[in-house]
Amino acid sequence: MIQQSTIQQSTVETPETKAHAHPNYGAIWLALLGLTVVELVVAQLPKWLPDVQGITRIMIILLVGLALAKALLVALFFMHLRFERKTFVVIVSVPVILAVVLVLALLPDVGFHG
Amino acid sequence: MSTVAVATQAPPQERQVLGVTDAKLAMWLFLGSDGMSFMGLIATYVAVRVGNLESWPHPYEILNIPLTALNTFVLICSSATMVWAFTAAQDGNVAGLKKWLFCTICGGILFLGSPVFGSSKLILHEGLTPWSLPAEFAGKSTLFGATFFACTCFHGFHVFSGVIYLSTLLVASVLRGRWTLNQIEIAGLYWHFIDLVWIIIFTIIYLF
Repeated sequence: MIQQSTIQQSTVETPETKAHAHPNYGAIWLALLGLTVVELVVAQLPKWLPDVQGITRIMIILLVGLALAKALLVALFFMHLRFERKTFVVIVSVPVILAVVLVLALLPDVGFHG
Repeated sequence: MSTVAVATQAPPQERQVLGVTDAKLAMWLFLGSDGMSFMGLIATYVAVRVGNLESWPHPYEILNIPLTALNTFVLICSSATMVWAFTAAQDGNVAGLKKWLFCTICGGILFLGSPVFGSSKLILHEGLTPWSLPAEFAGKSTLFGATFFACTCFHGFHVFSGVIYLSTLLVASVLRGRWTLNQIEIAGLYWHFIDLVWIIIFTIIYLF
């Protein structure tokens, strides 16, 4: 079939062709940049506050949380998961869970060389 | 549901199962498996580093973190331009689509270019390779170089492939006027995925 040079609209309704307001992508973008700046600041905490007990642990928890927040913003809004059917989101979540399991499953095998 | 009947009679690239086109589902499944590949490398990095905590050099002593932070910024911006390209495509703004798609490709090339120069300095002048460390870190674990290059080069190859993918999409489809919204969306999914993986790699390898 000859494709026309105008945009090809899908003939079936999909979540992205249904009319819904675009999320404010600019705001998401600025949030991502802001979170990156916060990450860079948090990474310096052990250098600035070396006397605080367990500062490295706090830094790790904060950084993981910030990275997760950024990943969620990209996945939910840029990759449009927020507007997909729930079944689909469940399918996509499985590798995420498996990924965490993979990291945790390797930890007992860690050999401490010091 | 009548939409299902319509869906199964639609042209192959628009066929739907689970409410998304075949191609989109295929891309998501690919991204899931690719994500597991990356997690294999990242999990290895975590396990190896935890086992060698005392002899692991600090990333901020070897790696150029400000330059890499700038790179992260560039990649996040390219992700934003990709989503604006998709929005332009949805609104029928073909000129906008071309502009933003081109910006995304430029962002990808910029992201690739700076580590090439940064890494070549690290490798050639300072002695960080997958099997050795710079002289001032003698006695520390050389696994630092191995895991660092494994993760970043694997990701860099993905960005390189993504640049080729988007360039082909731009030149062979969009500029010729023969494109579908589905194609743009799927390309966007791949690009956002590599951005997402970079966010994780940057945090774990550079900032910890």
